[in-house]
Amino acid sequence: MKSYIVKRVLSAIPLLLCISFICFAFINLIPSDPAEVALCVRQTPVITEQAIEEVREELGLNQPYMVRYFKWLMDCFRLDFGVSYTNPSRTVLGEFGRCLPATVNLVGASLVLVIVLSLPIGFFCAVYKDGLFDKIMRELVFVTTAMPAYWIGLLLIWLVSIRLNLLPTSGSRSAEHIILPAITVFLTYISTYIRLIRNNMLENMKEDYVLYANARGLKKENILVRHILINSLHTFIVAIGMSVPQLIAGTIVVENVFAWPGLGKLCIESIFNRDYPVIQTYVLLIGTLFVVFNLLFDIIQYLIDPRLRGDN
Amino acid sequence: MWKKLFKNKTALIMLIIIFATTIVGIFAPLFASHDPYEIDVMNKFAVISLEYPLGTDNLGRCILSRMIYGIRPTLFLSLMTMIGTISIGMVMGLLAGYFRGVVDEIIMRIIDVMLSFPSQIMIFAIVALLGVDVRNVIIANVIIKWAWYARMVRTNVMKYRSKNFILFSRCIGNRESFILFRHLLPSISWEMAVLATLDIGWAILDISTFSFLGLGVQAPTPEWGAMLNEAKNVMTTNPVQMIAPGVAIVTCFVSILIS
Repeated sequence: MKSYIVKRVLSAIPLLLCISFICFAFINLIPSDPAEVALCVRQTPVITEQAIEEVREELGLNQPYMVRYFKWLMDCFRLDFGVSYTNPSRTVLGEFGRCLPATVNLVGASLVLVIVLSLPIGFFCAVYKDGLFDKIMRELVFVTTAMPAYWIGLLLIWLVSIRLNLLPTSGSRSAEHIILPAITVFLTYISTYIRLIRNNMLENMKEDYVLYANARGLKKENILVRHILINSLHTFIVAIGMSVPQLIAGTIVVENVFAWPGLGKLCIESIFNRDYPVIQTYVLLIGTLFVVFNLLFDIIQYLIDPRLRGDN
Repeated sequence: MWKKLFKNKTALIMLIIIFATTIVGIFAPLFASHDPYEIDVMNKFAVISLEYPLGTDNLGRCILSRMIYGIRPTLFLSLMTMIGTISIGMVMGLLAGYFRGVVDEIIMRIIDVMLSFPSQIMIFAIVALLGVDVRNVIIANVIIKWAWYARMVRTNVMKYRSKNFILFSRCIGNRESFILFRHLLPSISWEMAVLATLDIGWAILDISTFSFLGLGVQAPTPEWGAMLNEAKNVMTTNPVQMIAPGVAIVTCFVSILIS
């Protein structure tokens, strides 16, 4: 078992290096000269050739590519991601520190909604397969798949905030503000999990152990919950865990609809302002999160599901 | 095949919707009653009437005409995306699946790296790098998505390459390029075409999302996503402006998905 974990962790390292290298290459591909940009950031009044040369020397831009890459990588380990181009008084780390809590709140709230609602819905869909509830839910799943996140958001704002005047339309001043964005994110992701739970349970129902449990005369509710549901949960937990980075990345759209001051809004603003260090760090962060969460839940799956350990 | 199609009512209806949308889009000037760019501020937020079937928007432009003209960029751009992705994916997949060995190793490693990345974020990154423009959105989409097709093509090629007709063709001394383009390509293109039509739906969603965020098609060009972006600001006064493009996007997507 230990060897499996070690192997998985080791295999993640090249991928992380690859991501970091692409992020580094990214900032070197931008059309403007980094030295010139740095001068602009420092608000040097006149940019001369000589000044550019000096800054190049100072920032180490005339060193070989790989040397610069390793330097940059070391800086990243020290959480030093540079300075924002548009707002030189702020570091990229500071910007992220400012925006991260809002995104984490939003993702957390939607995740809770997804878990709390998709589990029972998927469960009852599987138990009463082809019944009325299942049919309605299947339609609903289809509709939410087809609706783009931003349109769901706009419809919710129009319906709940404008027509019914129940909740605020945008911003994040009070606890009420999180309800609509969280519901929007939740609606765009719930279909996957309802389907996952439902199909997993239906598959498990055909297994021999269920037949055996029936033959032993166990109560039906007991079999459904203690045997089938628990066995279907493995995949669910792993899928939920692996989707966390996806959720964080997916909030870009929702945050912009609801003017939620999180990472997604920061990212779009940076794209418009050509604030490359921020974008670079954002890509690096999401890429790393993807790899780390995949790794983590791969290992967790291995730990909680004894069937996977059979080969060793 | 036609009989089967006529039996499946939903698929037939969806196909008709797609064809009708395409035709209306191509011959937009015939169907649209107004110029989609014509601004008439005096007449803004006009209610639904015979002259303006869906009313007018915040600048007094006819919403229906803008919707009709909006079909063009929506369908055209998603088609472009699909053609780009598929052609790169096809070439890479064919090369990897047919020649195997080193070529396969290299292409597959590239594909692995591409697929392990969060695709949405990479599209944002590429758009940021190249600048805000709809062309760049398409380029980014192609760069990110070809890997998925390449892998599908490769699997399919490997299925066919040991079939007898290919082996025979090689026996009688046909050139590799002849086998690749005359035998393998036609064999796999059917399956790929089916996959691609399904994916056009996703391309439509993707492009409209970027336009909505202001990164794709720019105002005042009528495109459904961009129209939603404009409608966002006047939602309190004129909800029709927001509902119409949304319904159009969802209808298009659903029809493509079902048919």
